[in-house]
Amino acid sequence: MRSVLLVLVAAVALAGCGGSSSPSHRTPLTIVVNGPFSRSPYLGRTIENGARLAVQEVNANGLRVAGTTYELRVRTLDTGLSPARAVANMRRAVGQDAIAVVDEGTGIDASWRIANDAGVPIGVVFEGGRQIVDPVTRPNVFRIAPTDHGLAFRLAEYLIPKGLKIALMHDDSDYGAAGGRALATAFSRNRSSVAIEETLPADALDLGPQVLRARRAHATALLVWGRPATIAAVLTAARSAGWNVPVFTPPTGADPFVRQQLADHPQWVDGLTFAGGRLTAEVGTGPFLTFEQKYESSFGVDRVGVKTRAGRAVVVLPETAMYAYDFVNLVAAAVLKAGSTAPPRITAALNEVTTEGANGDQRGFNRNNHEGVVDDDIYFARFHDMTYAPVKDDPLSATLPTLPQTR
Amino acid sequence: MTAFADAFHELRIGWRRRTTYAFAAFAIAALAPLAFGEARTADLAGGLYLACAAVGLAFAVGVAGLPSLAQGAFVAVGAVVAAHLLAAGIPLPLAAVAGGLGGSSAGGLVGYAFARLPRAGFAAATWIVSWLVAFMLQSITWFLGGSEGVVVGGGPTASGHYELALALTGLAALGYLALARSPIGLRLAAARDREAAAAALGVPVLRLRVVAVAASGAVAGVAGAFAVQLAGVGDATQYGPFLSFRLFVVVLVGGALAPLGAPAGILVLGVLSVAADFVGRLENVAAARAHTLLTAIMLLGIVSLGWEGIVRAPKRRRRAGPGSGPDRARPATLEARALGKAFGNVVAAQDVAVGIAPGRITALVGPNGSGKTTVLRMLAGTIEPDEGSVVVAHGSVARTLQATAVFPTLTPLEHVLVASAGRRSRAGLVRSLFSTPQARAEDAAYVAHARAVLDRFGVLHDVPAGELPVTDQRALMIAAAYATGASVLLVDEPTAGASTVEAARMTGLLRSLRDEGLALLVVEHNLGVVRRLADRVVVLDAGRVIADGTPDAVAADDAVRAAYLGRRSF
Repeated sequence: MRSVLLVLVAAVALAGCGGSSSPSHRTPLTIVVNGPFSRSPYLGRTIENGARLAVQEVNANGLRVAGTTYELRVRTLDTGLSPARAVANMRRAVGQDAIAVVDEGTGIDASWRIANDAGVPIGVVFEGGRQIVDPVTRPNVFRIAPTDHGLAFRLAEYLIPKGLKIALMHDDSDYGAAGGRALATAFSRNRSSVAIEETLPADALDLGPQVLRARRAHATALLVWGRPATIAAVLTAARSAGWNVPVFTPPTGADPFVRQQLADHPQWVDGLTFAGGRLTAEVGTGPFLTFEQKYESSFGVDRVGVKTRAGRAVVVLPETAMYAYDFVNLVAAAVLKAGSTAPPRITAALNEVTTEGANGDQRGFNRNNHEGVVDDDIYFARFHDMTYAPVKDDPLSATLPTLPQTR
Repeated sequence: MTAFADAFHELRIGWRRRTTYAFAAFAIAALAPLAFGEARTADLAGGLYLACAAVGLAFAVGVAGLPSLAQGAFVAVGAVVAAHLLAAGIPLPLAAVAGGLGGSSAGGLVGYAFARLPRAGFAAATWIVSWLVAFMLQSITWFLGGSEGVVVGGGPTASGHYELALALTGLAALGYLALARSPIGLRLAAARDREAAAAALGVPVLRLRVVAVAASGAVAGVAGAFAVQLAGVGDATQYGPFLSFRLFVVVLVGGALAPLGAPAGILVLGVLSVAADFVGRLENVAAARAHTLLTAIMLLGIVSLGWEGIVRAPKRRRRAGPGSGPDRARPATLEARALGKAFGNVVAAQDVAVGIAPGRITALVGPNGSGKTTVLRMLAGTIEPDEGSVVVAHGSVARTLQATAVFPTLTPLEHVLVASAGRRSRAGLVRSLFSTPQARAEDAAYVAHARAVLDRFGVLHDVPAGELPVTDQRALMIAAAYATGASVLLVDEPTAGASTVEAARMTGLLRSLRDEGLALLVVEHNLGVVRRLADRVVVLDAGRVIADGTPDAVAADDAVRAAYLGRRSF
């Protein structure tokens, strides 16, 4: 009898000692998404959705460290595209014991220090200047997105051999100005390819005079680095004047706003070519399509708001969400690698882990490189009938499949 | 040591319950970083820097009566200056001083450009300045580095900034109190209440208003400098016109006439931001827009209800003391020769000669429209004559206005102090700000002198002048003119609307001033008063002198009878 009682007591004690795997006993871990929700709602939302999708999957699989099961949760903070608010948000994130911050990039030059003092890693998931990421001076800043430098050099590499006389046009937004500087560097050794350089007023509705100047300078191609509204205005100005010059852009050319603005003249979008980060990998379209399916199941389809000539609705491919998704997965992997939820150890472990990205690529960083998208992974796609397909006259792009963009 | 002992003694005498409350509030507030994390403490510090800027604005709005909507622009100037200096490695204290100088310069420029405008015009002009500055900051990336801003590293922790901001706000409030009580503040308040009457008492209205806006700009610049270091980045989007609007609402909500009104207003705005977040979430509106909406609604409510603020103006007690008050006026004469003035085709005065001798009363009479007021304004120097000259030997001229024009929010004691302020030697900006022992001693002596003057004129000392009977208000106007130390007094219709008894009181006062050796010119319609009072009478008709002599001689003059008296007589 005594031994039975002892066994029962031991069983009860053992049952109470172990970590519980039931959701109600999970310790929360916060990941903060610091994005421009009020000023650029689409961008902010896709970043948030990408992070949430990864969090859902990690929680479904369970994140267990040192006998404790953790549950990731996402908190959003709005930067409003203001560096000062971004800094204040970073303080809040640190104050909320965030283990990582997914950031659009505004104000990073000021806010990274605050996160670094607490050892919190930051994942920048939108394109930007080179100076944002430096593994030596900013050990806690990582990026999974194309860089301005990479985009500009790939554009130069793609366009110069074509023998075109290119009008380099950028708007006077900060995005455009940064791109203008990157283009100036990229084309610095091939000035003969440049017909003219123009600065465009951002958000101007009519860019006729500027486009006319490019035409008079005998440009045979336009390279427009600016906000979606600027790109739409350039296309309108050129096409309405009967000038069917090829137009090339950075990833903002694929922004839904461009197609929405030109919905009445879909043929004006035909031929628009943009540079962007590769959405698929060597393994094929499977991983990205799977990711897209999961994304749409959780958050619905992002419609552009236009239709093809056949009347099919055009949808947006979740590229930015993919980068946020990949970073959160890397953070989860880093937590497991570090065997700790302490942010400084997560940051260190991020240099040692890799995961399979949403598009099938291996994503990871190391102590000398915190860029998750290499410059070589930039491809070109061209619009036709409101959807786009990789171009055939670029070695990388020619190997990539066309992803379905209609429903 | 004596100076410290005196100061401590005065502090003890002046200590009130609300002073205890204020100190207690600051002491409790200083403990806040112990209760909050770094992020919240940084937010609170940012709010306190705003409160500091708002205290500076309260001086311009409340004391000077200038509805400035450019305070946010001055904060921006301080921030830009400091951001660049800090980024270049200059220490924070120096950068803050530079920011203050920048804000002060900007404020001085704005004050100089727009202080002449009426209030609505001043508000509109400063609002445009706010927009211009915001536009420049966003368009010209050199100022604040475009979308990435100018990164500012180093500096105190969030807790350090909080304590710094609290101390700065307290110092700003003390500075407000010191300046509001000083001759500078009194003269600004007088100009706020009645600009023409203040100018008639020798108040340099424009100069003081420029000083007021410059001072508010200095405080804003310092606050902006510290705040940009706290933010870690100079961000152009933080200095839009809404910042000026918000600071203005804070001042109105908290109370523009109380040094701690602005901090109270910041507290209210803090509560409002919580409400704005809630409204924003309910209506799916960005919090920033909801905040703007609620702030605008609050402003409309304040303006329509005539709200005076959460914190009322402190009672103003002044200590009288020994010491030499203002010197007595030296006897002086005024000679005006061949004065002429035309307004378009209307000749208001032509070839007018008037002489006013010390120890004598000269009356200037004439029918309505004869040019008396024009001649008076030329004699006072308010307007330039087209012809002729006015020469005052050994003294100055002061004038009372025709209409009863006291400063309704000031007490009679303060009226006299405003008038005598021009004679002070220790009432400059720095001495007033730091309330030096010599400044306080001089103030006590002038208060004693002012009380003596009011006793002589039979006017109560410490009630708002707007609540005095009309006759007392007129007596106060003359007392104030007397207190300027002018040797020549120009008194415009002192017995207008007075009863026989009141008129007798006025004539008695004027005779006593004559007997003291002052030279007086009295414009009067009451011919009985003129007969009893004047030593000499000058009669105007259609802008010309038609008689000049003793009352008896003038009364017998046919031309005077024909033009003015008709069937009436002296």
